[in-house]
Amino acid sequence: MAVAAASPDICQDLGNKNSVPGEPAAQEQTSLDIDIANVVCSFRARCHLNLRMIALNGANVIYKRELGKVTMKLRRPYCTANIWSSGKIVCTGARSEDDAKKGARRCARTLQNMGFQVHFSEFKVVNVLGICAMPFTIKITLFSKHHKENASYEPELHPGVTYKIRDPKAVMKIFSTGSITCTAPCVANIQRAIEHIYPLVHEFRGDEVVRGPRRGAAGEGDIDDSEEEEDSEDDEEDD
Amino acid sequence: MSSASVCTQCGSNNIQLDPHFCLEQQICTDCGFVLEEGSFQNDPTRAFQSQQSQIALPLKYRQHNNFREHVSKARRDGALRVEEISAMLRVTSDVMVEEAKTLFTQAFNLKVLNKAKREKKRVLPGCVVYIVCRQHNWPILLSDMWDLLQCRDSVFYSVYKVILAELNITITVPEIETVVPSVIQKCGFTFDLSDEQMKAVTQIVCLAKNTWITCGRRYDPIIIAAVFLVWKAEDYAKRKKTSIPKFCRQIKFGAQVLPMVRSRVQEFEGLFLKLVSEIPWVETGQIDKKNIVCYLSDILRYEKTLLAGKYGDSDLESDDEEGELQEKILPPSMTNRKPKSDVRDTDSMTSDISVAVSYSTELDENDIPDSELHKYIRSTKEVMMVEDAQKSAQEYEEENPLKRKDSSSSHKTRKRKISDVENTP
Repeated sequence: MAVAAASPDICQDLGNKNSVPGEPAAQEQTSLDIDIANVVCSFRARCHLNLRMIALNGANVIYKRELGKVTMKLRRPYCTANIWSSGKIVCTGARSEDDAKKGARRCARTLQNMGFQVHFSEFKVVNVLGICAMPFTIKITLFSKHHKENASYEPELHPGVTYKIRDPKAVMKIFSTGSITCTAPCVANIQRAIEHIYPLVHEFRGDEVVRGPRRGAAGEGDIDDSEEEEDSEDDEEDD
Repeated sequence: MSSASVCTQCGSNNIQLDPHFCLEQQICTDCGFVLEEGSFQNDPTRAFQSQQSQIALPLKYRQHNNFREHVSKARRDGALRVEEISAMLRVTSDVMVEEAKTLFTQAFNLKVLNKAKREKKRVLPGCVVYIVCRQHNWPILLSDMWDLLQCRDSVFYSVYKVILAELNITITVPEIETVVPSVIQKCGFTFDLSDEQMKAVTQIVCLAKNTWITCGRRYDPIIIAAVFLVWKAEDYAKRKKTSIPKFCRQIKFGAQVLPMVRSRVQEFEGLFLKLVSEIPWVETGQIDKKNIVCYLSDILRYEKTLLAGKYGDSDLESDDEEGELQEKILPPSMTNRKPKSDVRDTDSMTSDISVAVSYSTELDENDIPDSELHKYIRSTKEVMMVEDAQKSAQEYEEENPLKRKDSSSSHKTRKRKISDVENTP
């Protein structure tokens, strides 16, 4: 699911900022796509669930006895549900809040058909992950020096700057490639957070970059943040 | 027991106290006369003690009620550990050590760290010493502290973040140029670097800073890669065949950083190839990644001009996106584009847009059509088959250990035969 982010006010401001004195002001409006990559939700079944029975009767389930949970994989929408015997269920992998709710209800209905007295209650979207790619590179070292109160940058641990906002509650990770990942309790917060961070990040922009679509028909991805984390993982290569 | 100063028999002053069978005696060393003999009644150490000090109160009671100003073991040991770590880092300034101790007591009293695990409390003295060193602009890195304390990076960083947040301290990451000498010393290379070589290494590191290579990366592999290139360039004829793993073997922690050093060297070589194309008197046809090191001195001497030329070219419009990427100096991860496919993006997995999301607590057929239920719930036949399979698997496991023992014993006999053959002259 893609959300067009920039509001008209911000577009106009950017147009004015981009203009060089003496040259005609840029009339182009920039719009950014925010890609919702993951939605995590939870709900309660309001009854005790027999995990062994679910493992026996369920088709797409994995029973992890040592962790005390059953993992159920759903097809439409493509998501994964973790089921605990207390009746608490967490559903991850959906691409929108609606899909997350559909997936959760699907899981609950499946359990009901297995024979449990399930009532779909206390549904809550816990976390949403959005990815937005800026059309320019970002000088994160300078950015972190100018925003010491909200930003934390430790290159030895993570290649990106972690920027926390309180008002729309969100945590953003800003990378030098211009890619920004945002985690927040809802999609609206992500939009507001990206609108908040755009002017701050625009001040420390580097080269302009033209990007293709993040996800193609065959699922070809654009710049993925996992590539930028190569240093934080231990690579074991042979000599 | 009153001590007599003069012997009553011979009049000498040499009187000694002798602990004879737990009773102290005053004896004259000249004549051997026993002046006074101690008794249990006269012994002051065995005086009657009040009842309070005789009863040992439980540890928790003493802790909660601050009985006799109880100081916990962790706090006491932590203060000593601060001194030890300061000594290991050769912090000679007493002011810094005192600052570290006061910061430690403040950090130890934080509520957040009160119920922290022992692993985190052990790391606390190290965090505190690191903060004080950085406040005095010491070129010390977080990775140095992990290696010194032998702890996990995530544990150290979690405690470090808590202290900075709660006590409102801001610490800046040291610049890479300031850290170059200390990292080179830490690596312990078998060769010494001359002043010119050190200058070249620092220049390469500054160049990396201006061209996105240091952005978001650890400092150690970048500096080691720069040293490798400078060392290779010094005597290219002899050293051109030295591989990176061989070079890294002389470093104490070489095996850990080898993959990162290798990728940094490749990035440096790619960058130098881009810059060398701007030099007018160099024929770029013969140059490749292997011999680019020979042109290192020219690249470093005219670095600013070459970079200005590169950034100036990038302002020109180019239709070809691929060509534009290759010409511009961008963060390395942008040039290594790998198309990633996501299972969720295939057409068959898209969600039903037609079916609206229901907001009721009761579940009905709209949530999952009955036609699809067979994909999620096994039929009774399948359940019986699964149960039978599980039973047979259990039976096989019970039988299997016996069979496994037989096979292992035969394997051992075979091994013995081979060894006998080998041992015979």
